[in-house]
Amino acid sequence: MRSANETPDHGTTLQLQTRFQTLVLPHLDRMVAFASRRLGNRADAEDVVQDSFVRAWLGFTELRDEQRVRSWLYRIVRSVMSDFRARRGHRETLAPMLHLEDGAGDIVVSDEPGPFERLAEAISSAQIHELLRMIPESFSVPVELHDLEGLRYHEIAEIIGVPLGTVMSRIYRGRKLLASLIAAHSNRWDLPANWAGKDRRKVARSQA
Amino acid sequence: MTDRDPATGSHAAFAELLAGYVDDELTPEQRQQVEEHVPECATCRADLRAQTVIRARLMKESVTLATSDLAGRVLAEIATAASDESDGTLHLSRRQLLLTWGGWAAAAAMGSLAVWFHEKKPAGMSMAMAPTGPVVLDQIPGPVSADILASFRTIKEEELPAGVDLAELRREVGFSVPALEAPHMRLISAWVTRVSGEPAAALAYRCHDRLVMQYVVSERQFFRQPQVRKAIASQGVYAAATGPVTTIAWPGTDNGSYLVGEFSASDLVAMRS
Repeated sequence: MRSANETPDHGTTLQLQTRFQTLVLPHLDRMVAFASRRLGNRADAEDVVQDSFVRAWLGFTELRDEQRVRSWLYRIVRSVMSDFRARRGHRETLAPMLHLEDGAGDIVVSDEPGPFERLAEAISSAQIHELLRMIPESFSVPVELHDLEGLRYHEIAEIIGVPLGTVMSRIYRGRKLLASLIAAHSNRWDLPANWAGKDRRKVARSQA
Repeated sequence: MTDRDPATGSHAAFAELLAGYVDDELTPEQRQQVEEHVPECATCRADLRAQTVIRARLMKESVTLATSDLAGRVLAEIATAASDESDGTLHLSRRQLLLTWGGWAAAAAMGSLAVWFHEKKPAGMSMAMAPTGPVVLDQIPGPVSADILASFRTIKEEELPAGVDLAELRREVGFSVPALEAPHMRLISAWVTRVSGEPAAALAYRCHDRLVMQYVVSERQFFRQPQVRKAIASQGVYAAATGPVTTIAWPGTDNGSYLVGEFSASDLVAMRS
């Protein structure tokens, strides 16, 4: 007969907690980083992650495959973030996508390292995050999950619930949009000296 | 969506494969098609460049560490939530949940919580030797840890020795060399090296497109360090950091492993679990 503190598949409370402690808690930093970028506010991100980890604990017995813990956590964080935004009446400030996508090919015109590479190197993390938030989530989240979080396409497909080919397509478009936004906003930033004035003019001309 | 049939030969047919190309997510056939098309298509070359530049720029971003009290707040919140769970899909004893989670939360609130970690207990190991609790970073790394942290900064991925032959490595160093098999970690190189003048195995992994090194030293060298002995006895794992580079260390059957990289201690702990 099973005791009161045993679960059908996961043993005792202590074992369950140990699994949670080992599998889930080490991902705290990454989840906060992900939510911070999405929400643009560290305090809100920590609140969201706190709620997410409580939800993760309450649903922990549903996690059957330990290899998928990270994907599972991202799904929970995205869901909690969506609730959070709905409660706050949060609206994203999105850039006009069609215009940007059309212009993206003009920005990087050479096979050789050029002004755009130097521009991408010169801008700060805060500026990158600000631009990522201007891209619709359906494109920016796959890019973030791959390039910033290190997930593979099949994991991203599982998190956002789309086929593999769609993940590839969205990453392609998301990066193009980000490239266009970087170029479009370059004249608004006070960039360091390694982003030379002539580079600024070249990128500005390519946008014209 | 654009036309996904590259047989048409148009830019649109290939454009969306370009992300998969730079991310190494294409089938060999798709990869070959892209490689045949790109030299002929200036638009694809420009797109490919944009994909590569953006990808490289984003991959340089580092992970922001959570505030020191977040883990404590999470555990306290879970304790509260656990107490509110009535019947529950978990079928847990509410009192036991409260006591255990409450203990974690209290420890966190005392400010000692850096990384919660449970040492996997090898067969025959007593609980006293495999404690669960907070991992505290060594403020002044000992000579071996300092050597390992410094060595990591000098390693260049493009200069790593080719090939991985762990059996040969074990023969050369004279103790076992347990490679890690965590998700997202790929062993890319392994060779014999010296740590503080003694033979050691160096294993290089790529994790989230960053380099992580595992140095496996002899058991005797590992336990010769007082800080390591003390940390292993008290918390099951040793941890130290200099700047952005962190190392964690733990004992094996006849060896000790140091895992080092530009990751937080919690990330490194996740890699070895």
